[in-house]
Amino acid sequence: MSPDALRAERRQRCVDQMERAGIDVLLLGREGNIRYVTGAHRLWLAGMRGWAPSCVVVRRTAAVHLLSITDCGLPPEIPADRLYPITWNPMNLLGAVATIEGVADATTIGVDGSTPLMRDLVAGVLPNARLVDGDGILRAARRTKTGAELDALRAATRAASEAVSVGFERLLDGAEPALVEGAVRRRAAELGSTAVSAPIDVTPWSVAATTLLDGYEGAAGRVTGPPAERVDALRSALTAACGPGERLSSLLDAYGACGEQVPPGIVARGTGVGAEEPVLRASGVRGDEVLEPGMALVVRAAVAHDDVWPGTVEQVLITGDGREVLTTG
Amino acid sequence: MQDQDLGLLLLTLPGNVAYATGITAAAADADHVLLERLRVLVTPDDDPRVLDAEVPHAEVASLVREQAPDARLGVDDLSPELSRLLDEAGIAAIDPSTVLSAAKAVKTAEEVSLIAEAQRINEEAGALVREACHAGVPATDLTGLFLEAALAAGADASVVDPIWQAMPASVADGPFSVTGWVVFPTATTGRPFETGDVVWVDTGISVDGYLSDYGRTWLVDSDPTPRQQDHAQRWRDVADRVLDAVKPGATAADLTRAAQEAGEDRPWLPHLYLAHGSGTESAEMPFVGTDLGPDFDATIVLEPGMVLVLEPVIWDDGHAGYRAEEIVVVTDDGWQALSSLPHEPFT
Repeated sequence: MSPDALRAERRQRCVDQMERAGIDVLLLGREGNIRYVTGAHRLWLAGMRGWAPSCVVVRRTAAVHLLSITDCGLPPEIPADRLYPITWNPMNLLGAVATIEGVADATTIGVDGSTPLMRDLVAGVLPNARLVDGDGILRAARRTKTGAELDALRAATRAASEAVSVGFERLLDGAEPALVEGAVRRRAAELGSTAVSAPIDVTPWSVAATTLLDGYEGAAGRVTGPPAERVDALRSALTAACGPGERLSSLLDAYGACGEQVPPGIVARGTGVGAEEPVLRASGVRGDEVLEPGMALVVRAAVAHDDVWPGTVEQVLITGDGREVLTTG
Repeated sequence: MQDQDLGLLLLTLPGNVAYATGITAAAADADHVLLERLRVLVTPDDDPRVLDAEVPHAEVASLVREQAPDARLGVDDLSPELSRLLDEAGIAAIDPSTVLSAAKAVKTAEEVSLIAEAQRINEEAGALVREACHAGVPATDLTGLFLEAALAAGADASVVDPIWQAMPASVADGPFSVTGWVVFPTATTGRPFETGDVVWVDTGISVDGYLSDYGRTWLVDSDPTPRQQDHAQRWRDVADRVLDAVKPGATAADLTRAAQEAGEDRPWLPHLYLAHGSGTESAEMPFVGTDLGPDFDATIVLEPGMVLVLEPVIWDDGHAGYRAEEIVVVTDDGWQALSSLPHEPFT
C-alpha cells in the first residue's frame, strides 16, 4: 500500500472517532498524535514540550492544518494554505487557529492536552465551544494497526535489527557501552533511522534498541553470555503469552513461570508511531487490558544478572489466532 | 514561587522536573517520555515530592487538594483528565511559566560548567563530522557519524535530530516559506550533499540534563568565495556588536539594537530569535528578538549567570547566507565565552 493510502486510512480513523465522540474540531499538541494524523516528517526533538495547539483537525472538512513555516517534509494533503506560522505570542497562535475554516463555529473541541494559559486563551477566542478529551479518541484510533502500518513497523524493525547487530558485534569485541550505543546509532542513521524512541539499552551482555523510521517504531535486541539462555526462554514464554483475548498481565505471569523477576520500568507497551498505550509494568496496573487482533506490542525480556538487566526487546503483533513476531534476525 | 504568591506547583515537563529535582528524563521520543513521565509537587518549604508515571490522575488531584493552601496550583501540563479533575476539586490552575523561567534563567556555576562541558563535546564531534561533509555523502550519514562521535566523547544523548541543511541560494528556490523568509531548520533526509552546498549546521547534546547548542555554516568541497567571506564577516560584526552590549542590566532590546547598529535590518530569523537562553531546555528564557516585540524585549534584563546562545543570520538572497551560534554566560561585568572553536572554513 502507498504512503498516501496509509495516511488516508489513519485520517479516516481519526475522523470516524471524532464523529463517534461528537467532536467538531481537534486541537493536538502531543507529538505522536500529530505524527499519526499528519504523517509529517518534522524535526525530531527529544522530550516533551509545553502543550500548544500545533495541529488542527476539522471534522466537517476532514482537513488537517499544521503549525509550520514550510510545507517541506509534509504530505500533499497539507498544502501551504493549511499551515499557520510559528509565533511566540500565544494570542497570535490562538488567533491563527480561530481563523481556520470550521473552527469558529465548532461547539465541541477535543484537546489532547493543555496548559492553564492555553485553556484560558482557547476559551477566550472560542467562547461558544466546550473543551473535551480528545486524547482518548486518538488512543482508540491508534490502538490497532492497519495493514500498511504493519508494513511500516516491519520496515522499521528490519532497520533496528541491522543496527543492533552492528552494535552487538562491537559488544562482542569488548567495546565500552557508549561505543556500542554509538555503533547502533550510526548504522541506524545510515539506514534513515536518525531518532530513537527510547534510549538504547546496553549491558555487558546485551544491546536492545527502539528506533524510529519514517515515523514508525522498530525494536530489536541481542544477548550473549551467561544470561542468554534465560533471556531466550523468557522471550519464548512472553511471546506465547501474547494472544487475542489474553490479558496484558499474562506477560507478568510468563515472567513468574520462568522463575524470573520482573525488571523495573516498562515490560510491555503498545507500538506504532512511537511508544503507545497500553503500558505494563511490574505493578500490573493496566494489566486488565485485553489484547485484540491488530494490536502491536514491544515486549521486553530482561533478567536480573550481576546487578543489571541484560535483555532484548521485540515487536509482537496480535493476530486473529495467535501472534506474529515482527522482529527477525 | 513566593514572588508570584504560589503555594504549590505540579510539574510534568522534563525540563522543569529536572530543574526542580535534578532528576533528568531520558532524551527520548516525546511519546516515550509521556509514558514514563514523573510528576513533581513543589512547595516553597519542603523537598519536592516525586510521583511516578503510575500514580493515577485522581490521586494527583487529591494530593493537590490536600496541599494547595488557597486552592491555587501552578501547573505546566494538563492532560484532559487532570484538567477535569482539578476543575471538579475547585482548584484554580495557573500558568507557572513566569515563575519557572525567572528561576531557571540564572545558572549556578555548576550548571554553567555542565553547559560548557556539553558544548566542548559537541564542538569536538562537530569538527570531526565537518571532515566528512563531502559531495555524494547522504546527510543522514553525517548524522550517524555525529551521534557516534558525540557519544564517544562523553555525551549522554543527542537532543535534536542533527541538522545539516543545504541552503537554497534564494528563498524563491524553496522550500516554500509561510513567512517569506528563508526556511530553517528542516528535518535531515538522505539527500547527498553536492559540491558548493552552503550547509547550515545545528546540533545539540546533553550532559547530566544540560544542553549544548552548536551552529555553524559549512561549505561542501569548496572554499569560501569573497562574497561568502563577506557574509561571515558581517555575521562576526553583528555578533561582536551584540556581545559588546551583553552585561548585567542590559535589556534584550539593547541587544537587538546593537545587532542592527551597523545597518543590518533584523539580522536573525524572524520566526525564531536573535538569542535565547539554554540550560535544561534547548531554548528557554531569556528570549531576545522574538515576535513578542520590542516592548517585551525591553522587559528582559540580563543578570550574571544567564546563558545566552547568539544566533544572528546574514541572508543575501540569491547567494544564500551565513548562520552560526555562539554561547556565552553573563558575568559581573560582561560575558565569558562557552564556545570556542573557530568558524572553519571561514576566517
